[in-house]
Amino acid sequence: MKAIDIAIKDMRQSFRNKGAIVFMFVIPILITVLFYFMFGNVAGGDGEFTLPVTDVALVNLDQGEAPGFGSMGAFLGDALQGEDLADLVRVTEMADAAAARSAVDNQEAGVAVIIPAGFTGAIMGEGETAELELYRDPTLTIGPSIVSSIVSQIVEGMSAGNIGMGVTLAQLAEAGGEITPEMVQELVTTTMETAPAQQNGGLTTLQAPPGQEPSVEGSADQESGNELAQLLALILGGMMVFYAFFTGANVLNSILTEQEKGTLQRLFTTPASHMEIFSGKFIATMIILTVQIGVLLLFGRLAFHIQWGDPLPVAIAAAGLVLIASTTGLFLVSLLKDPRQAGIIFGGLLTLTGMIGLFTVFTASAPGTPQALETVSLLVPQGWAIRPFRQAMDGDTLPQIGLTFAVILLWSAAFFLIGQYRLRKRFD
Amino acid sequence: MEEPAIRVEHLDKRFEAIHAVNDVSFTVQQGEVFSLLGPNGAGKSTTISMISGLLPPDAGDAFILGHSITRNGAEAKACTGVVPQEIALYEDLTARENLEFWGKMYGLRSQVLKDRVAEVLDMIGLTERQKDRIETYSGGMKRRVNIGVALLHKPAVIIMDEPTVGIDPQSRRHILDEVKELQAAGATILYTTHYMEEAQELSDHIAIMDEGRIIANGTHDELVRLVGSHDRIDVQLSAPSAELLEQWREIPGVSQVASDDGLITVLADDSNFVLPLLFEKANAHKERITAVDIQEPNLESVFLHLTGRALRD
Repeated sequence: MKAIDIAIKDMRQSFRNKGAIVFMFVIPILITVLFYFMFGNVAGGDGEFTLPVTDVALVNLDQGEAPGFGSMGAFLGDALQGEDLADLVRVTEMADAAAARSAVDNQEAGVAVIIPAGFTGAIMGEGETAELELYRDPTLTIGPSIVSSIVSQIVEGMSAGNIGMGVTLAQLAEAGGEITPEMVQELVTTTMETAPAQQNGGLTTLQAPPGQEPSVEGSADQESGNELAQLLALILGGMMVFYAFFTGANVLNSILTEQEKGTLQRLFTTPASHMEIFSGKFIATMIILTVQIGVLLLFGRLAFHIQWGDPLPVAIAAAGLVLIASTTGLFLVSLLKDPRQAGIIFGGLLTLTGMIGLFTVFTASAPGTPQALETVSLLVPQGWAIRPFRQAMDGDTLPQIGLTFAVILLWSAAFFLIGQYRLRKRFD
Repeated sequence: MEEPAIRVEHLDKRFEAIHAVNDVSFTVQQGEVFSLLGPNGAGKSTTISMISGLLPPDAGDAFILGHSITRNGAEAKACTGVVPQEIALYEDLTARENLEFWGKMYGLRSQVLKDRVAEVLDMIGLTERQKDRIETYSGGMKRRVNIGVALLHKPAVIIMDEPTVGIDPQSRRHILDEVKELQAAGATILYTTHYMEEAQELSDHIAIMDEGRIIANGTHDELVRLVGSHDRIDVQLSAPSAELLEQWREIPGVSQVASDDGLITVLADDSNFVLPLLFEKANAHKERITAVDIQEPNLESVFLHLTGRALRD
């Protein structure tokens, strides 16, 4: 009972502390809102989000011919000007690269796509190499990134289609089948015509959680809104994890501040046992973290329509974050001598480990992110704390999330045992 | 025979090379005010910390109404109220919230808690300001709440560790009066101080501590008798030199000479005989005596007599 009394007292103090409130709620929300204003705007009064349309200056220098199909450069140009992408890009064809770059420099276009002369040959694997140039306005962020993503996926699709066609023809030849020009023509047409649909589907699938993907028939507004919601989910989720560790450490830092102010010693002169006193502080930390995480999850759902995932996996993820953030706080506080050290250690160490652990959050959709970074992020508790949230958003199964939770439990148990051992050694 | 309120038996505590408390024993009877008197660093607060259960002793034990602090700590603590030297309150909580919280720590609940909080608020004169946060209080008001916390559960034994350090004379007077009222209400009080006047005014028994040991223990009169018929002469010198003090020590009838911040304390058999000689020696050294005060033997004299140092050292 005394532990509960101590927990209530600590919670009362924490929720009266304006600085703590700012760290717990205001900063994570503010950063997410900032990202929202950077990457999106409110469309009308219905609360849906739309991404801005990016002006693209297109230059096609490709003169090549793919057998039975034509110019790959022209195909890429057509794909960019397709109806499916009309709400994301607005293409203006230009005569030469200099004019396209000039349009970007003059902010008449957000990005210039310059298709080189040997583009078809390079795609068809005829020994040529070609470099497709994307010239972007450095003041823009999301628009050029979207164009870059679209272009790279279309090109990858073309290469994949070419390889697939080659394999098909080779298999036909091996089987002794007759390969007629009509057959090749049909194969090329089928391969290339399915490529744009794959690109668009791939684009949306990359950034939307399973079960939440916009249908092929869905409006572009809805698709871009979901993309933004998912981007904000990663940002808010990342901020939630980042600041939860600060909350855990700061609330438990009351052990040191109370020691400095003499109230801890006074508590020791009452009939309350050391176990009750430290349990009370730990309970307060877990409850405060639960409130913080609950408020941020709810805020994300209501304000940004973030789909965090099914309730049970999200609850497991939240419980994991509460556990690992509070035990990490206990562990850190047990290493410190006084509250003055806390500022340096919390500020430095938690920021560093937070950046390492959450690196994958901010590179989630960036192409070419090395797998090693994913592995490195799991060297710190923040990396494990964010993982079940992402798994919940990705629709992973309960056993998959449970496995991550088990690892979080191991981290937490280690931190708890070390932390409480060191505190008992100090105060008993 | 009635169980002593506090029984301290051979308490011992070391902090690495420092022997902070060295085989300390004393007994406080119920209803007494017992003062531990000594200069800073004498070991008073360490002794108090062990008796109140804050520090485990290296050796020895203490008993609060028969409850051992080492074996029945919770029972011993339940009948003790501790007033720490520094204000130990939650500044961001109100006076009422503080009192309610600390009351709960002593096991008070529901209506009993509410009633006691109201009584204590009334006792410390802060009923009107009970909903204000402690951070808005003056130093004296904080001191009163600090004492009030220790009284919530009506403890039989109250331990006060230098409660008047660093406060204004009015608040100090208020606290001393409060101690007397608590004693009148039947409480036993263990009081530490380095102010000789406080110990003299409040205490039934006084133990003088120095360098971790109790060097004398008794009533005020018993302690003063240790000095014998010595007079205490306080002399203010313009520029005291070690050589002059050495010459004063050699004057027949002078038993102790101690210096503290320009104030020289001399213990002498007969001040009428010694005083002219003090002036004579000072003149010979071309030093000017700016003030002289001859006092009856008191606790200051006792400490000087026993240690060769002033209590203020």
